[in-house]
Amino acid sequence: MSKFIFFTNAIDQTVHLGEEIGKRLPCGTVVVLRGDIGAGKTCLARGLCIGAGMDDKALFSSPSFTIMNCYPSHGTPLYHCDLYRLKSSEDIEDIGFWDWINGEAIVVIEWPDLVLKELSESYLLIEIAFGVGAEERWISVESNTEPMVSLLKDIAYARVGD
Amino acid sequence: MLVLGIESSCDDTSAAVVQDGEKILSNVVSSQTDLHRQFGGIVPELAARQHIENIIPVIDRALINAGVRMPELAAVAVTARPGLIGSLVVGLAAAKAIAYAAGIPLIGINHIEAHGYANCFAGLNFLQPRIDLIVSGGHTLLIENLGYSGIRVLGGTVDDAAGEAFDKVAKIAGLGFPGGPAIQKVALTGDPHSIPLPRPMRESHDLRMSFSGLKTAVRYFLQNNVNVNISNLAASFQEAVADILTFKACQALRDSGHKILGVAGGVAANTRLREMLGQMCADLGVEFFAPPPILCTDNAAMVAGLAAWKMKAGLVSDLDLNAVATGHPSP
Repeated sequence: MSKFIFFTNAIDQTVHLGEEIGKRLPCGTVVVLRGDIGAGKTCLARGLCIGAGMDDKALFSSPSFTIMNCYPSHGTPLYHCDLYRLKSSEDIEDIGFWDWINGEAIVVIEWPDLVLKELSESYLLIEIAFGVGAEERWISVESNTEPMVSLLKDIAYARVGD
Repeated sequence: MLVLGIESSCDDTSAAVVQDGEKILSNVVSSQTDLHRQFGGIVPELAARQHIENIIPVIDRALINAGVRMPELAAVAVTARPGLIGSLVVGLAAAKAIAYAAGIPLIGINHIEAHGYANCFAGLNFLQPRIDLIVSGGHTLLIENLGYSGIRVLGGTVDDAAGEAFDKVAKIAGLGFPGGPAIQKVALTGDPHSIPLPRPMRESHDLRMSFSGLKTAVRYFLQNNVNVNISNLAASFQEAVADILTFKACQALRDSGHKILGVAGGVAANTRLREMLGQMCADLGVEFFAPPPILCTDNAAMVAGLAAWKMKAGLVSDLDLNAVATGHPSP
């Protein structure tokens, strides 16, 4: 398991980091996003979806109520899920969650705790923590697959030049 | 002309019978009826499977309450998009079966456009061009509604929906669920100008909105001011949301030149928002419509009502109509 830590100082930077990751994601990737309310999961998810090529940025919105938004894209289909309102693994089954994890789309999952155990371990785990300053965030990105790790190194080094 | 409407895009299962697009003969919503007595238990608030269990009893109840038998129906209308696929398909399957069995037209309806139609039960003429502000837990959109010519999205939230912000702020502040009514109640005794909460993207000079930064600001404020008066916080938050929505609706009216504003969706039940929108419209010389609370949240009457006009326009669906999760809310 390799872990990379990124720091951001503003919402825009969090979105930008998401874009940098999103544009490198291969089809079939599952990204899970953890962090407290207000940490910036949806902002990072917006970056991921924009980076991964969603057709119309204006379509992006939080799926906390709708549970799953699927955005047309010129590349891989994009599923953006939020399990915030679900309470049990029965709920997960009922909404057909496992049909979405089919290797044919990039799937971004907010509040993933109900499904983490059952997801295959090749997902990209992103955790956002509050920093000391109002807009500061520590964003840790973890993966245990070799292609994903080299992707993360790529981003980490690219940011040195920023 | 009697139309049966079916709506199952999110949590609630609903069926309604509407006459000529204007008279609601029945409007049954699963969470708001005593249906659970029929099952001897409580209907859980969320589970797509619940739609399967609810759909037939809800439709039956809608027909019984309306005093209408199936052969009297002129058409059956159903929400086909956007929504959770697993939920939408339940309503679609029922609607198709009824259309096929009764030999009547099937009419697929866009959920967002249907929300806007709620105001046509409150005196709005469907054919008049207007701006619709759709605000709920899942959606926050400004829409140009041209009647027969359909709808066009002008702008909306780039992150949280306004209703979601209410729920999450209520959770952060320990005010309970659902957040909208909880915050509105506590806000009654608070000073809306006591806490300077931000208005993210208010000055963005377009119709995009953002509510997640506002939610985060509330979180920080609570962290740094442990003894804050919660009523003041709730009132200040509600004021900020209503202010952003009103400001953007005003901009949409000015940009488009339309002289009518309709608000709909669950958050449209918020008294302060209605007040502020009403005042803004009065100042602009714009006519303002807001539906009664039962027609703000998801319901099938809006689906059946809109369908009468779709039928007049010849917009009837084939029996292979598919559910679509999301995408542009176009018909």
